[in-house]
Amino acid sequence: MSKEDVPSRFDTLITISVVVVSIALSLLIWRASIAASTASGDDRAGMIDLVKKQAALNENTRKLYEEKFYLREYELLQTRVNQLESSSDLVNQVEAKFLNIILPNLAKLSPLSTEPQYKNPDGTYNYEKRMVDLTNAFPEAKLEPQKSFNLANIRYQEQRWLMVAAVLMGLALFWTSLAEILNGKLKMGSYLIGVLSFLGTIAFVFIVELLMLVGRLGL
Amino acid sequence: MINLFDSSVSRKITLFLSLMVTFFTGIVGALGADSSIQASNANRQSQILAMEISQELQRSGLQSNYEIETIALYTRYASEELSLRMAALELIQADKPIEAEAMMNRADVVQSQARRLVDLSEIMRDPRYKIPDSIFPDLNRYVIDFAEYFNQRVKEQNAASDVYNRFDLKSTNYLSIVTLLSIILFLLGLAQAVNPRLRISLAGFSVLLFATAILWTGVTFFR
Repeated sequence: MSKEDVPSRFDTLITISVVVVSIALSLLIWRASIAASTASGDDRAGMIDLVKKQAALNENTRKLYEEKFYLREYELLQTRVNQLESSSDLVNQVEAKFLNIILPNLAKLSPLSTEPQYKNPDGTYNYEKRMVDLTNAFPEAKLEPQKSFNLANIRYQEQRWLMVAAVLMGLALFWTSLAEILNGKLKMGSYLIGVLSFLGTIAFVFIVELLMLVGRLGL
Repeated sequence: MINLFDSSVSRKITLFLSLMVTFFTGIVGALGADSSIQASNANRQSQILAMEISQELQRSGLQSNYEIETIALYTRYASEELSLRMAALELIQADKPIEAEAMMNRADVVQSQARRLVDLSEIMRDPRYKIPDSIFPDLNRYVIDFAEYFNQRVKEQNAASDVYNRFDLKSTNYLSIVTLLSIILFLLGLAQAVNPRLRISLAGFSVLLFATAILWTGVTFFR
């Protein structure tokens, strides 16, 4: 091996730097892909929660309308009984007595007719309150898919910024590698730009990860 | 004058090109990741809206069923009341006051039931659907409001779906560009191992492919 073929210490340093930057770039891409995968998982969890919540909401809505149908039957009969009772006609009185036997059983079919909390002073009913009570009784209806979606958004942001960092790291790799083929002052300049880009990117990654951690903890 | 066919010069050119292509691959990769994220978000939004629409369809279906049935019952009681009162009038004319009174009592019962139905119906109480001088609500208006809401939601869902399709296509294009760039990198790597003349030929072909990749990236980005 001639003296010219023996690499100088600086050339060795450049080669080691290129290897270090390449490893850092690979790690960045790995981290970005982990963020993407976790975001996708959070998205999926949110979707599952949303489907469960919608199913519970559908069931609650169906139940509310079932109760409304029974309430209407009860109210119609109750009104009929009241009117018949107020009549002096004996036939009406007998009919009212007979219908009064059915009424309590009909009332039991809908909590709207048995529980006074759902009745407004003007004779109408508070269906919203009934819906809230039905929702509270159904654990799935209280699921919060938006939380998972927000978490997924943060992970996607993390992935996006890590990809930006990967491009910056690519820039560092470009300059450090370029130093391999340049000579003299250009070699040193190119290497310094590469090292500075590398350090800047590392700082950028730390800031991104810190911000994302704060974002996740804030949820 | 630089001799392109000089081994050292051609190696340096090839290496420089490799660095450029590597850096550009990083940029395209980042753009691809961003498009993929935007596509995922739009797809999620589209699915959320589709679920909300389906839930609202179920709810409004139940509501319409209930309201229309209540209006039908109201109509039945109202016409029954009218028949009973007309019968009572005929009985009075036929000089049968006791029967006429019984008929009037029946008419009062049916009338009170019809009035109670108004309290139980949301459409019949809603001032938006009130028709002047009519006891019946404006069902046409109700159907228009109903359709308007769904048309709006479906439009939003379609828009989200379109955004998904646009970014999904972008993401696929970026992936293809990255594949093209990896072919260029392979050619440039191969160029390092061959003689200077062939090296320059491979580098020239790589430059052509690289220009195509840059153009394709530009078109995809601004699409």
